[in-house]
Amino acid sequence: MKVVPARPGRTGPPWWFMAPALLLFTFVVLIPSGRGVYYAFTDWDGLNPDFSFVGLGNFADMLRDADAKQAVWHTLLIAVSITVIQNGVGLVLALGVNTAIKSRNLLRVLLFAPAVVTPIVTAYLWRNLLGPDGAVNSLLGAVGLGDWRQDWLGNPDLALWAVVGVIVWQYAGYSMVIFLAGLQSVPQEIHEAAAIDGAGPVRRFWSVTRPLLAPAFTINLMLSIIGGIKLFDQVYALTGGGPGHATDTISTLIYKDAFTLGEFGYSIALAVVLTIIVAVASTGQYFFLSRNERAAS
Amino acid sequence: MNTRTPKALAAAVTAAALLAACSGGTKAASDGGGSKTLTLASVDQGSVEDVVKAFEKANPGVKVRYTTSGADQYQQQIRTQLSSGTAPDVMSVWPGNGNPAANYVLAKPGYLRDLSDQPWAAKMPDAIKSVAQYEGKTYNAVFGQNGIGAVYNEQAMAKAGLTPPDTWTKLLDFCRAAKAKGTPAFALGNQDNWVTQLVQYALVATSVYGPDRDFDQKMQAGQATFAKSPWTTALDKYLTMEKTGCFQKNPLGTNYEASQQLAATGKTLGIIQGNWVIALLKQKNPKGTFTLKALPATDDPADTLIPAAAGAGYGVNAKAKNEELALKFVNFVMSPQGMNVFNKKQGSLPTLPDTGYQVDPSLTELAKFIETNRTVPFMDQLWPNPKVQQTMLSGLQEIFSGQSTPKKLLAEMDADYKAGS
Amino acid sequence: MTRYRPRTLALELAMIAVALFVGFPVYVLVNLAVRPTSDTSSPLHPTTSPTLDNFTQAWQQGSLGGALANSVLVTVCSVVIVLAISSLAAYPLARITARWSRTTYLLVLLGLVLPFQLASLPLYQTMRDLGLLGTPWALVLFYAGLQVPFTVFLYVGFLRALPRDFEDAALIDGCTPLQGFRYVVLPMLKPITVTALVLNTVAVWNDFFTPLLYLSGSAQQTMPVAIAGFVGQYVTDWNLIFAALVISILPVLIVYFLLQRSIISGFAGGLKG
Repeated sequence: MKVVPARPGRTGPPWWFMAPALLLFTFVVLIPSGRGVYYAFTDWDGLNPDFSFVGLGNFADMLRDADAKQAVWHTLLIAVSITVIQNGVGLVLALGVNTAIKSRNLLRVLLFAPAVVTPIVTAYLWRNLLGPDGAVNSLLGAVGLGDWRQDWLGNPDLALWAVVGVIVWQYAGYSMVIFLAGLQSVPQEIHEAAAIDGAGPVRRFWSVTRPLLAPAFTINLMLSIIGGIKLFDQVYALTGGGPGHATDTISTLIYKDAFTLGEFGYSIALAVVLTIIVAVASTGQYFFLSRNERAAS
Repeated sequence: MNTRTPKALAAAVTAAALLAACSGGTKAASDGGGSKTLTLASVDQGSVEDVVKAFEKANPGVKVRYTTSGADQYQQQIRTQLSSGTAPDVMSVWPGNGNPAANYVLAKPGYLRDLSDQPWAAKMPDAIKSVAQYEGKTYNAVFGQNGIGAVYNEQAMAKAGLTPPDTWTKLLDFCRAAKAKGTPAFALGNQDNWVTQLVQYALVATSVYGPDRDFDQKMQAGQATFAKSPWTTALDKYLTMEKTGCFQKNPLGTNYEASQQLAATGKTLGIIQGNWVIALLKQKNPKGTFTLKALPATDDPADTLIPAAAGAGYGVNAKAKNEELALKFVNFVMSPQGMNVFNKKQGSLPTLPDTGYQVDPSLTELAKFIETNRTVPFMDQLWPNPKVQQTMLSGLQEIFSGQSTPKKLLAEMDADYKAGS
Repeated sequence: MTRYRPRTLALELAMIAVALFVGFPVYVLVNLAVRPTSDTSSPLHPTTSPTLDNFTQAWQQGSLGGALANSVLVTVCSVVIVLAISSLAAYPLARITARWSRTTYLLVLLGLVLPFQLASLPLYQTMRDLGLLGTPWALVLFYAGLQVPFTVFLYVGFLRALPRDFEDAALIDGCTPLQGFRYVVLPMLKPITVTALVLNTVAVWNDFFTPLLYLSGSAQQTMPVAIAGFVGQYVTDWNLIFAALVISILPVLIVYFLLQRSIISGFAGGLKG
C-alpha cells in the first residue's frame, strides 16, 4: 500500500514524463536548427565547399532588398487575414455540425476533406478554377453577376486575396476540427440548463460555450498565425509569388534565394528574420490569449 | 460493439504496421549497394522510364534505382545531396550556366566527372559543345535540343483561312485578321513565369543576334548592355504584339496548362512555345495537326533566326559508387538507341548526327534551321548568374500588369549581369 | 437541442449548401478521376461514362501498392510515437507550475516557430551519418520529433482546461503516476487525441519533400513521391494523376470518418446514461 501524500492536490506528475519527447525534439529540431543558423553568417551558395564568414553582411543586404521588404508586408497581411477569416468560418462550421442535424457525420468529413488534400494539388485545382475562363467566372456569369468577373490570379491587386481565399477554403475545416474537439468537452447538460433558464442561442454561446472554448481558441489562433506567416506551398504553387512579386512572401523568397539563385547563406538569414517575426507575433498573441483564458475560466 | 470494432481494427493495423516497419526497415538497409545497381536522379519524367527499361534490357542483371521529380524539387534535392556527399551516380544536368543545377555550376566545385574521354564527346556539334563543357572539358551528356517558335494549329488556320506570316508586318496583319475572326493568334500562359520569356527569346534571336552573332562575347567583355542593345527593340515588339491583340485576353491569369488548352482546341490559332509543347497539344487534341514555324521579327524572312538549344542532359557524379555502370548509362543515352527513345518521347531533336532519327513533320522547319546554322542558344544559358533570368521573368510579369516598364527592367538586368557570378 | 425541429432542418439545409460549396473542387477531382482520357469536355460536366480504369492503371503504373504500404507504415509509426511521447510530456508541462517547467514549455513552443529551412540541411547530414538515409526509419524519426511541439501544444492547451480532481483522486487511490496517466488522464483527453491523431496524420501523410530527399536512391517511395512521378514536365495525364490522388487521400478520410463516429457515439452514450 502506497503512502498517501500529505497534500494530495499538490502532487504533480513526475518530470521524467517529458524526457522522451524532449530528447527527440532536441535531436530533430533544436540542434539542427542551431547548426543551421550558422549559415546565415556566411556567403555559402549551398553547393561549393569553399565559402567564407561574412558576419552580419547578409542582414545588411536585406535592408537594401526591396523584394524582401515587400515580402515582409505581404506575409503579415496574409497571416492576419487568414487568422481572422479562417477561424471565424471554422467556428461557425463547428457550431453548425455540433448540432442535432442528421448529416453531421457526413458534413464533418466533407468540410474537413480539403485539408487532407496535398496543398500542391488544391493549388493546381484552384489555378484552373480561378482562370479567366475558369469555373468561378463562369459561375458568376451564370448567376447574373457578370460584372464581378475578374482575372483573379493575374491582377496584382487581387492575387494576394485570391491566395487568402484558397487558404481559408482549405483550412476552415481544419480550424473546425479543433473547435469541435473543444465543443465536445462542453457537456450537453450545461447547454440544456441554460436553455431552460431562458437564455437565447447567442447568449448561450457567449456565456456558456465561449469560455469553455478558450483552449481551442488559443490553439487555433496560434496555429493560424504561425502557419500564415510561414505559408509556402500554396503561394508557391498558386502564383509562384507573382505576378511579378505581387504575392511573394518571406518563405517563397527563402526558397527562391536558396535554390533558384544559389544564395543559401542569404536565404538562411531571411529564415532567421522569419523566425523572429513569428516568435514576436506568436508570443504577443500567446500572452494575450492565456490572460483571456484565465479570465474566462 | 460499434465503437469497439474500429478500435480493435486500429489496434490490429497498428501492430501489423509496426511489425512490418521493423522488417521493412532492415530489408531496405541491406539491399542498397551491389555492383549491379545504378542510382539515377532525373527530371525527364515520362521519358526516362522508357530509357531505363531499354538500358536494363540491354544489360541483363543490372538494376537502375531512379527518382524523377519536377525541375524545382530536383534542383533543391540534387544540391542538398551533392553538398552532403549522397548524390546518385548519374544525374540530370542543365547545359551552360544560369540554372542552379547547370553544367558550370556543378562542374566548377568538382562534383561532375570529366566525360571528354567518352566516344560521343568529340562528335557533338559546336553549339552544343559550348554549353556541355566547362573550361574545355565535357561534363554533360546532352541528348536533345529544342527550339522556340510559333506552333500553329493547322485545322484552326484552315478554318480562319490564314497562313503563317514570315515577316514582322505580316505578323501584325495576321494578328489583326485573327482577332477580327474571334480567334486570337496566339495563346500566352504568362501566369507561369518561365513562359513569359519565350516570346521575348524568339524576338531577341532575330533582333539582337541577327545583326550581331557575337553579342554574348561583347556582353561578357562588358562592351554591350541590355539597355543599349536591340533587346529594347525586341521588348517593344513583344508589347506591340500584346497591344495589337496577338494574344488572348488576360495572359497573366492564364497558366501554361490553360494556354495549351486554348491552342489545342483552336480557340487560338497557335501558341508561341518550345517544340516540347507539340506532344502536349496532341494529347489534348489527338486529331489535331501542329507545326512549328519561326517567329519573324523583321521584314526580311532571310533575317529570321530561331532560339534553339540543348535540353537537360546527364552528368556523372565525380564520386560515383558505380562509375563503370554510370558511364555505361550515359553512353547508352548518347547511343542512337537511347537518343531516339528520349527524343521521340520528348518531341525534341537529337544532338548527334547519324542516329537515323525520323524527324517529325511538325519540326521540319526547326531541323532545317539547325542544319543551316540559323539558330542561337537560349539567351540565359550564357549568363553569369541565375539572377538575371529571374529578374527578367518577374519583370516581364510586372510589365504586363503595369507595375514596371521595359526601361526599368533592362536596367535591372544589366545590374544583375554586372554583379557577375 | 437534441430534438429535430424545423429550425434544425433549416440549419441542416444551410450547412449542406456550405458543404457543397466547399466540396466543389473535390467534386472536380473525383469527376476527372473517373473520366476516360478521351473525354475532353469541361471538368465541370458530370462524366457521362464513368470508369475505374484510371484507378487500376494508376495503381499499376505508379506501383502505388508499395508506396501505400510505405506511407501507412511511416505515418502509423510516427503518429503513434508522437502521440505517446507528447501526451506524456504534456501532462507534467501542464501541471507543474514551477518556473523551469514553464521555460521548458516555451522552449518546446519555439519548435512551432522555427522555419524548417533552418534545420533541413544539418539534419539531413545527421541522418546520413547515422546511415538511416534510404530507410523509412529516417522519416519516422524525423516526423516523430518534428511534430512534438505541435502535439504538445494541443495537449497542454486542453489539459489546462481540465479539472484536476480526477487525477488527484487517482493518486489517492494508490495509482502509480504512469497508471494514473494511463487510466485517468488519457481517457479524458480523448477528443483532443483524436484531433491530434487526424491532424498529425494529414501532415505526415502529405509531406513530399522530406521523403523525396530521404528515400532518394532507394527502392522505397511514399504516396506523394510516387504521385509526383506521374506529373511529368512534358507528359501530363491529369485523369490518371487525379485517380492516384483520390487513392492517396482516401485512407486518411476513412480513418477520420471512423474516429469521428466512434467519438461522437461514445460521448452521446456516456452523457445520456
